[in-house]
Amino acid sequence: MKKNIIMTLMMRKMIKMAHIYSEEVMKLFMNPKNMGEIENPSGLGKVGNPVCGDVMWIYIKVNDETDVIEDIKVKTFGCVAAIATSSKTTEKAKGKTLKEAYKITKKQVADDLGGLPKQKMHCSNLAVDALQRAIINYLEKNGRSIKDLEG
Amino acid sequence: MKVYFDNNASTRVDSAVIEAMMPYFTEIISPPSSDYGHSFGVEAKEALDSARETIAAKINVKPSEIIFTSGQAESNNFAVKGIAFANIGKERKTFLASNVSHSTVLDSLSALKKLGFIVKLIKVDSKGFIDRNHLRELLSDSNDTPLLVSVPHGNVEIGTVEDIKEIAYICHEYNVPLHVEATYSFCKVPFDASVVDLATITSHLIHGPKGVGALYIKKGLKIQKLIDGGLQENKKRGGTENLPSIVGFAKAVEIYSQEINERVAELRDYLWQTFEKKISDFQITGPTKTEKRLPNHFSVVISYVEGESILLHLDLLDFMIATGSACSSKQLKASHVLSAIGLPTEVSHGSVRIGLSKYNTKEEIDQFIEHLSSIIARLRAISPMNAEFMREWQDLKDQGAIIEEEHHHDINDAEDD
Ligand code: FES
Repeated sequence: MKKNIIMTLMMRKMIKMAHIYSEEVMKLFMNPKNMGEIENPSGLGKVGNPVCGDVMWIYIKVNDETDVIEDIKVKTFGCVAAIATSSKTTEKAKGKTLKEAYKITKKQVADDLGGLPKQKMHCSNLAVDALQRAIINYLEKNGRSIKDLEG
Repeated sequence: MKVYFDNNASTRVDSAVIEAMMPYFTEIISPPSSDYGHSFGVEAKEALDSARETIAAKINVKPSEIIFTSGQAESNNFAVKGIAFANIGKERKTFLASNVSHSTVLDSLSALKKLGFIVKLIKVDSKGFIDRNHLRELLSDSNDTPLLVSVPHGNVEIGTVEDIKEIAYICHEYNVPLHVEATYSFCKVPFDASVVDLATITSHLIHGPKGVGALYIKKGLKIQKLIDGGLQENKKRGGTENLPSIVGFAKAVEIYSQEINERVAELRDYLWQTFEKKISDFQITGPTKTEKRLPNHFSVVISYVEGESILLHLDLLDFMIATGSACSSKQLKASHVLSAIGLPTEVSHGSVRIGLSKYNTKEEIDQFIEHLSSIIARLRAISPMNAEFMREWQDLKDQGAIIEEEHHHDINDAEDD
C-alpha cells in the first residue's frame, strides 16, 4: 500500500520532470528492462561512447535455426537517456529475427521513447550500435556475414 | 520534505535577512544619497554606508574599497575586464588564471582574448592547489609581465581552499596584482583581503539574497569601470544601488558566525564518515584534510556509476545535489575542474558534490546515505564497469588503444557554457 503511494508520488514528480525527459524515458530509467548479462551469449556487442565516455554491452541469445533473438540483456554505464535507450532497444529486439533487429534505427528508438533532448540523441546511437555489434559478433562466430541479412 | 544539499549553488535566505530588507522596499525608498537633501535619501545613505562597513570589516579592508555589484559574475567580469580596459594600448597584455578558476573568470578572459589580450592558465596539482613553480615560471617571463593573476580561494567543485597569502606573496614579488575569487569561501574561511588587490564576494551563498555581491578594489589600483552613467560606488559603478539587497547582504554577513561554520563542518564530517562506512569504491576529489577544504563541502567520484543518473534518482526522492559528470553538461564535457586535477572522463562521470548549510540535519544525512547506497547498488548492478573492467581499460589506455580526448576548459569556446 505504502509502496503504491510512493509510486504515485514519484510518477507525479516524473511528469514534472518531463520537460527534460519524456515520461517513457523516466519510466524506463526507474525500471529498466532486460538489464544484466547472459552467460555464454551467442553474441556480444561492446561499445564505448566517444562523445562523453559511456559504455554499453549487449548480450544476445539466438536460436540457430530460426535466427530469432530469444533473449537479450544489456549493461549500461551512462546517463538517464543511455539507460532508457538501452532498455527500449533491447525490448524492441527481443523476439525479432536478426534481420529485423539489425534494421532497428536510433530514430525509431528515440521516437518510441517519446523523443530525447537534442544533446542526448547520441546516447541512442550507443544502444543501436551495441545491438548491431552483437549481431555481427554472432554471425562471425558462426562463419556467416552481415550480407546474409541483406536483401 | 525536500532536502537541499546544493548550498554551494545557492542558499535559503535567512528570515532575519528578509526582515532587515523589508523597510527598504516600502519605507526608505529614495536612492541612497545625501545630495537629494530629504531625509529618506539620507537614511538610505546611512544604511548603505553601514552595510559597506560591515562587509569591509569582514575581510579587513576599508569601506571605500568595497564596490557593490550584482554578484559573482559581475564582480569577476569587472575585475578582469576592468584591468584589461585600463591597460588598453599598453605593452602588458597577459592574464594568468588558475586552471580551476570559475567559469565567470575564464569566460571573461576568453572575451578578452578576442580583443587581443593573452591568457595563460596556471596548472594545479591533483588536489586543486596552484602549482607554485608553474606560477613563478609564468610570472618570471620578463618580456611578458602579466597584468593580473586570478585564482579561486575556495573551489566550488572540489572544495580546495588555497593559501591566498602565499599566492599574493609570490605575485607581489613580481609586482603583479592578484584577484581572488572568494565567492565560495566568503564568511566560511578567514580571509584577509588587504593582502590582495581585488576580491569577489557574493551574498546568496551565505543565506543572503541573490543578485548582489561586491568587488573589493585595493585603493590605488588602476581599473576601468564597466557600468557608466553615474557617480555611485566611489565612481566605479553607475546605477542606483540595490539597497534592499545590499542591506540583506550585510545582515547575512553579520549573522554568519564562526559557530555556524563549526556546526556545518561537524555535519560535513558526519556525512564524510557515514559515506566512508556505507559506500565502497570511491575517491574523494579535492583535499582529504578537512582544514584545507571549505567547511560545508564534500565531493567524491563514485566508481562505475554516472552522476546524472544518481542525481535524478535522488531528485525523485527529493534530495538535491550536484554533479560534474560530462553527461549532465550541455556540451557533454566533463567539468573543467575535474579534468584539470587529472581525472579521466569515465572516472569523473561518478562525480557527486554536496554543499551543506546550517539548515541541514544529521537525520537528513542518514536518509541521504541510505538512499544513495541503494541507488549506487542499482546502478552498479546494470553497469558493465567494475574493478576488472577498469584494469583492462587502463591496460588498453597504456597500450595506446584508447585515446583520451583533452578535456581542459577550452578558453575559445568558453562562451557557449
Ligand atoms: S550517456 Fe553520456 S550523455 Fe547519455
